Amino acid sequence: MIDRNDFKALFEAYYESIRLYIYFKIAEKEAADDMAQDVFMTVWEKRTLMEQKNIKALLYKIAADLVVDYYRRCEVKADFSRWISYAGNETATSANEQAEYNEAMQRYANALNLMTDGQREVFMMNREEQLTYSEISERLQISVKTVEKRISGALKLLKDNMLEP
Amino acid sequence: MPQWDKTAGQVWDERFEALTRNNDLEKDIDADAHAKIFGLHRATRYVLSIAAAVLLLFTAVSLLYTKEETAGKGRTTSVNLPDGSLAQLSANSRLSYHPLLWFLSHKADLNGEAYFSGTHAKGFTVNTAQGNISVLGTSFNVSTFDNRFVVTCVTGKIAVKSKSESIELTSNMESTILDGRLTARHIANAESAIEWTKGIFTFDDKPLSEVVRYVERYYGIKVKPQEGIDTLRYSGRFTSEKSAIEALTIIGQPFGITFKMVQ
Repeated sequence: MIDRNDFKALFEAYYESIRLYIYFKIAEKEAADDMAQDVFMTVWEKRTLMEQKNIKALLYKIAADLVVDYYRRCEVKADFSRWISYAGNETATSANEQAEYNEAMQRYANALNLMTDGQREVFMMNREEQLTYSEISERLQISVKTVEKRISGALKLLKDNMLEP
Repeated sequence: MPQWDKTAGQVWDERFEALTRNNDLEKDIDADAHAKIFGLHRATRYVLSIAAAVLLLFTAVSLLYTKEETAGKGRTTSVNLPDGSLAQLSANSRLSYHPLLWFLSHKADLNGEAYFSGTHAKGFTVNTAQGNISVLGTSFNVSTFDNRFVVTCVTGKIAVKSKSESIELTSNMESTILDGRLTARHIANAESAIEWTKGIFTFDDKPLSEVVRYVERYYGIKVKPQEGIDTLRYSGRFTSEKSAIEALTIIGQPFGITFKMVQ
């Protein structure tokens, strides 16, 4: 059983992370926000059945399940070039520089698209959200070894794509 | 990193602030209702429990309380059923029903022979070991002696059911169960089947053995020997106000058979 105060604390601590986590999986800003709200809605509705223990991992599990449902519904694959387009380059000073930046970002997006779902979510939680391996392992209920393996796989894909002529 | 339209705080304020508050209210109401059931309204609960117990008791008594009417040896009796209709019981017959449950099911169990007349309640049913008769507004005779099952419809319409079959009878029809099969036939005069209610025995070309058995169970006596009379058939009509030996004398006369009373 979690009460209103527990729920509020949980929301404040994890809403951002869950929203990002979903976003790392589907690359859709609005949908990610909606689904993150659904995750917390589910927790609130089932609050009498919830225990404080493991609730963090449960949030990620609910989110992952929602993503599976989402893909089942729309049958599209995440396209991370859309995500890249949200992040403009404020530091570019010339058209040339901007073009190079765009080119690099395109390669980055390609690499993200090529990663497996497992590799990408771990990679992005680590690089974008700056979570430690042990934090990721705890949230997704996977071993640190698995996290390491997925990160190295993701890095290899990234290297291959970025260095391609 | 994406540029979110709303911060987490905004999402909370818009979607979860009111929601979680309302639910707190709901919880308070729940607690209140709880207090009422287990606290304040304890008296009401007692009253309800007692009412339930009384109802249960009444149901049990109703189920167990059976009115049983019996006609003894050599005599008939009349039974007024709760719906105002009449059941005339032949000798050695038993009729039972649940007076307290009558408003639920108009049912009577019959063992022996009876004639039902008058206005029956809707859905009135007579159950016997061999078959059931559903009454559709009528008068009829049911005889179940010696494991036979003969239903005679005098007026109106009835439905006769064995375990597997069902037949509708109209006036001047008779239904029997022979070897498990339900049969129906038209008869010339159904009144003859209920002449016993007027104290008259009527036998119309019946096997002598059947006639003797009828006398046996009517007067509650034993007749022997009965061998050799199967092939004989008897027709006759006489009053049942005679004694058993008088009746047997009348029956035996045409065949030159005499009966002797043995204590």
